[in-house]
Amino acid sequence: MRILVLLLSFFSTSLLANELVVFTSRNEHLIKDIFQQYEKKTGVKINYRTGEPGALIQALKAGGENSSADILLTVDAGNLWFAKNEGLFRALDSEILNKTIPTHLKDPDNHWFGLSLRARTFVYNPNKIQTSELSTYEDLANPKWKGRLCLRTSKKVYNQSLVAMLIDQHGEEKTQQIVKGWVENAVDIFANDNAVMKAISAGQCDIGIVNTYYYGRLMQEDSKLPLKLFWPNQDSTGVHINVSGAGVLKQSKRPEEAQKFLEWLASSEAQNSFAAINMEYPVLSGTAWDPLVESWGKFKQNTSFQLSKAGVLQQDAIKLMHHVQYR
Amino acid sequence: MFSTARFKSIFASTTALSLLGLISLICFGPILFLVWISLEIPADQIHHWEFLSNSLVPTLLKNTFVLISLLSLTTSSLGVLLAYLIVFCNLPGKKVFDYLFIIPISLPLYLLAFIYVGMFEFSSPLMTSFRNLGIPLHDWIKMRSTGGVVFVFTLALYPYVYLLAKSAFLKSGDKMGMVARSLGLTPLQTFFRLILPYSAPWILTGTSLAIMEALADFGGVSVFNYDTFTTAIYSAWVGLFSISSAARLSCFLILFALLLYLGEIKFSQKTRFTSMGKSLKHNQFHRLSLTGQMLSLALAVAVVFFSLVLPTLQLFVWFSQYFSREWSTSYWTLLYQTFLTSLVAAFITALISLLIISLRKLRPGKMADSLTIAAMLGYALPGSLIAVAVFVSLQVVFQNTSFNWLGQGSFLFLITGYMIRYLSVSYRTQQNTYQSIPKSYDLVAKSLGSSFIRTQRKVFLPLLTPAFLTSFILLFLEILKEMPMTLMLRPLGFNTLTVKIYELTAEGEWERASIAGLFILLSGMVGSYILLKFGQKQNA
Repeated sequence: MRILVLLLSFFSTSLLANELVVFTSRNEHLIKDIFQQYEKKTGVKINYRTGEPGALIQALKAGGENSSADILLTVDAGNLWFAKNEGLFRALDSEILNKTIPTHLKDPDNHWFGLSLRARTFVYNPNKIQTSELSTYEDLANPKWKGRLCLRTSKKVYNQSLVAMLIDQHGEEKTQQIVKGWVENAVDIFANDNAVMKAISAGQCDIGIVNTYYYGRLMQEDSKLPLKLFWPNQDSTGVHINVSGAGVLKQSKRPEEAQKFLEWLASSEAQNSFAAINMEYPVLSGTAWDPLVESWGKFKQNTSFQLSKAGVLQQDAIKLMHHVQYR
Repeated sequence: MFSTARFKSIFASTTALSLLGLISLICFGPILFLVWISLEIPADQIHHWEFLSNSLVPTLLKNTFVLISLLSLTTSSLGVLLAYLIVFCNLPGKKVFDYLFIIPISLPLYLLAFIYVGMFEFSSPLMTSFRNLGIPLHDWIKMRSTGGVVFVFTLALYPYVYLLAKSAFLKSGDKMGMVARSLGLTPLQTFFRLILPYSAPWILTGTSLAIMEALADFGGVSVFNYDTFTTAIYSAWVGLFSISSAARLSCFLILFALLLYLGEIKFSQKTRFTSMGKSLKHNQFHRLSLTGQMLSLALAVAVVFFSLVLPTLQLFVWFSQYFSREWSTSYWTLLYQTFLTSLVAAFITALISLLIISLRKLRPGKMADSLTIAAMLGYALPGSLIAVAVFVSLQVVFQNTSFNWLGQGSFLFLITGYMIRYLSVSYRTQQNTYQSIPKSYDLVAKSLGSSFIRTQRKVFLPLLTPAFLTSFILLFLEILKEMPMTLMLRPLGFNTLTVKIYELTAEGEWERASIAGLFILLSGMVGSYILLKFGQKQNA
């Protein structure tokens, strides 16, 4: 066995003492600069491995003690919930994180913390829709939207999380009616948010539900597209939000260093760029927004939906969407 | 007392069996762990399993069945027809077509799927311009449909059948043509009565490789939003967070692969022919009429246009739009690392296949057969499930050591993963050639007093070398485009072209992925060219 270990080590990259290993589902071009910024400031090198969230969690679970990973940084509260459930995180006792991150955006036992916000809202064609026609997520089930709505596939976690929020608010029965209404109104179901927006701008349908940063990216490419954002549920519960967030792993051999890094990510120094690089919203109140994001206006976010509940409810959401044949 | 010769033979046969056992352990061991995980579903996940087995899977089985049946029909008929035209007919430009027909094998399903779905979307520039001309093309062609999936998957998967059918035809070739002519058979009679039965094992292997590829695919079908059995596995895993349910579902894929493989073996045993010897360069027993030539040419051009020209054009359009924003010199590193992994993994896997063939010869029997079959089953599994299987095995192997296998990640694990997934491809390619070598060679060599090793080296290795090289290139093309397993098993900080494609497409930025896509296509073109050259040598 010792020989095997030696042999395998020969093929592997070696690790330095003054460094952290981050497993992340955020893409390289969205994190590299931030990591380098931290490295420049503190001298702590951040090594990272990117991949699908489910895969990373499975790898960390199998890796256990035989792993040098320190942090899991991923998108979607459901994934963070799952990682906690699998016993991957450790509870952090951090005054900074507790003060910065609002309760609905973190784990109640301080296992993970939301670090940037992603809003899932309406995008519509202003040539076809007056804002007075628009109101809530629930309203999209109204037959008046028949043949005017474009949906993204139910397999994407963003929709599962949105439906989880509805279940939390209305219970299963009513949510089922709402989602069934969406499916009946839908012209088509697409594989990604970009395709939804392109269909709306080309006139295939009038309205859809997307994450704002996709809208931002598309408008940067072609600002003349007939697309606008609308913030639904402003008189009631608020816009659905999800997070990208992180926690320190139980197996980390450098938990203090890892915690410091998370605290830095939540600081005013990092928050602006961490959110702005993907046109997301910072969690730290008072942080400047990206100018383009700023131009979409302020909105009321849903603070009553505890994201820590997302994991369990998303599983119910998957089943519910299957039953109403939302593919 | 044993005589030395008998002792030697027992020793050799035991060593052979142990080696075969070791290979099987490496390839099938991890899959056994997957089976093990699937045995017990945690109490809090039982309701997920019930939902999957009672509700989700039944609705997906129909989809899967339809896809698999249609695909086996389309890939086999297109592959066989094209191979027939190339080998037996006077198709104009056949040399060029022969090359062009192979290249699509290097195109990843997810990439081709995205190109086609994107091109036929209501909002696409192409559909918009047709609409402006008053032609509602989008109303007529629904790419996100069963027909669309079958169309695109056929384009990407027919080369498996084509390659194998072609090599069978070349072997059966001219002699059969001569026999047929002396019997007064028409070309079509010759084909159906003589050549097709002879080539059936190859065609069957090609079709089953194509089906397995489609069954294990997730990236491609998800672009179509077409749900198959693999979709259920992913829903169980990443949606319902129940890895044991996902493992249990994948056991059915393993079972399916096993049945398909056993059926294939049974069938090829029935139709085992002894080769009729070296074929001549001229096999053209079917001279087409001018109309026939024109029709065949139209088909060949259409296949090349849809499987290659159109996708490449789309990639180039994106490439020109996004090159300045996306290009960096790091792409050279990606290209280098992709080549390095693909070449090394392909070589090792092809070598192991050759080893299996020799070992089975040294120690034939049921035991060896079973071990070999077990080692082949990985091909039915989605790459990410194989990665999970590898993880769990590593966890068990290294649990009491301090070896940080996950954080450091090792190149070896990635290679092992590729081997588990693709050993079947190379083994079957070589095995068919091996089976066509007349048994009499062995006897002749033995009667001339040649030892086993010497016979292997002097007779069988030279005969198998072309098949070895063919399988090596085929593996190279497969591994080049592999994404999910590469993503999970690669060492820390080690990126390849498909990893880059994943990163960009995960955020919906397919257009930016065109650089990596074109690199894969170009590498595939080079690979296909070499494959063709080996093929020609093999049949010269």
